[in-house]
Amino acid sequence: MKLLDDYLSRLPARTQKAAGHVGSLVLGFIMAFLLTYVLYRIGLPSKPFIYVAF
Amino acid sequence: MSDPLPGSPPLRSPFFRPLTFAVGIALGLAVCSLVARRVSHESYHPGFTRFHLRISPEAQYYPTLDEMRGIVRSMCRTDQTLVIVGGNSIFNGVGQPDGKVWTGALQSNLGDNFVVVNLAFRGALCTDGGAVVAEALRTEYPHLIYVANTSPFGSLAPFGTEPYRYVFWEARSRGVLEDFKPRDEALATFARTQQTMGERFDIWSRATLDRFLRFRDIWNYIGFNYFFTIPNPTTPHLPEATWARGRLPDIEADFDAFPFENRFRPEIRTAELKIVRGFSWSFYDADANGDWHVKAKALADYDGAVEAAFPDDLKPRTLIMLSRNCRLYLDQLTPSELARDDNAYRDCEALWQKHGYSCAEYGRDYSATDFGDRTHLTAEGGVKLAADVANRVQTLAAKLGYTTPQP
Repeated sequence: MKLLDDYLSRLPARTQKAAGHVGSLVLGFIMAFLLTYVLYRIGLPSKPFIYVAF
Repeated sequence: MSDPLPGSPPLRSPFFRPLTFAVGIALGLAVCSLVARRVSHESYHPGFTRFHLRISPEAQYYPTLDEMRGIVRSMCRTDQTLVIVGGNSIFNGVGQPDGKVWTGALQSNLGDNFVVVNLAFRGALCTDGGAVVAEALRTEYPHLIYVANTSPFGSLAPFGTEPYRYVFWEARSRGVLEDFKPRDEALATFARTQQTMGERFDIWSRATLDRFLRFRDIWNYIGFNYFFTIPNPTTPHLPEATWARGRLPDIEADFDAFPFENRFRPEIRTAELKIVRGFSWSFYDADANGDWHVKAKALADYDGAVEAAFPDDLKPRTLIMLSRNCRLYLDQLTPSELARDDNAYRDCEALWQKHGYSCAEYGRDYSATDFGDRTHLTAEGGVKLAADVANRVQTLAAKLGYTTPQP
């Protein structure tokens, strides 16, 4: 993170701003994707269904 | 929240934009939802035969409503007669390996005007899985027949049973089911007596969230096509545990690979015979002459369940097959026990028919070798079942006017 911040701080101000927005947007996308996974996982039973014929 | 300690690195980058981040989450959820809808609308199960062991709830894979609708759409044109097969493991084809599944024979018997899609699951009721899909597709496929099996006086919740009830909740939350008073009343009673407020909220919130976000669809798609992340007993070891479910073949065992004596070992026979003896016992009383009469309460309860099982407009399009036990066991019943069993099948068949369904039993005249165990059929037994069901489907299709080409 620090390396990225150092790199960005050397860029022109407008590029810094744009990079901040793009990075935040991408991070939001990743978080959304992970959120769908969490919702999917918590909806599954902790143990699989065991079929027994009667 | 306390401030960071002096000299420690800042908690977040100065370039981070919270509002843009929030927009990213919202856009990301919207994109996931759109992608899920797109990929589920058409099938991602090429060459689908059935939901075999490794793409079923036993393997922590829960096919979604849209996934199943997509499979149907990819297999059946709307000018063909769609035959959806539901029910339990017998109709799923347990004991019949890929290539010998009875629904393949049913498809051959029915010909190209019909398309058979096997949506039966192990341990499911005739109101589960395929039944919900059939109801959800009732307008898209005007020529539709639903076929499923059950047992006389068997459990018959109109909203299905666990672990398959999630399909019903999905369909209900998306508004694709009919309003049907008897089912709604049964559901209200169930909710009042069997569920806590917390459980009801849990089901409602998950179904509602999934209606918009489609997280089940997107992760089933990823799990089937790219990688699977859920530990399950069917693929316990790496790297197979993470393989896309679509890579895993149907490994259903073949009853025919086991000698008859192994399939019906003495210790199994004793336990199974007890089940067969008790099959209709609790629903009948004998009079002084030894004649069996169905108990009024059992009949009334079953009558209500049959009425509520399917909406009225689907009843005439539904064929219920009552599954017989293996002849090996039937032959060991006393004449009185057999008469009671026959009564149960006859009474239940009449009851289903009274409510407008087509109904018949099967298996009474099959040989013991047609069965792989007490209830499941070998490939040969499946061929007999397919012939039986094909005749009834064709009769029903003619009765419903499906035999004339659609405009």
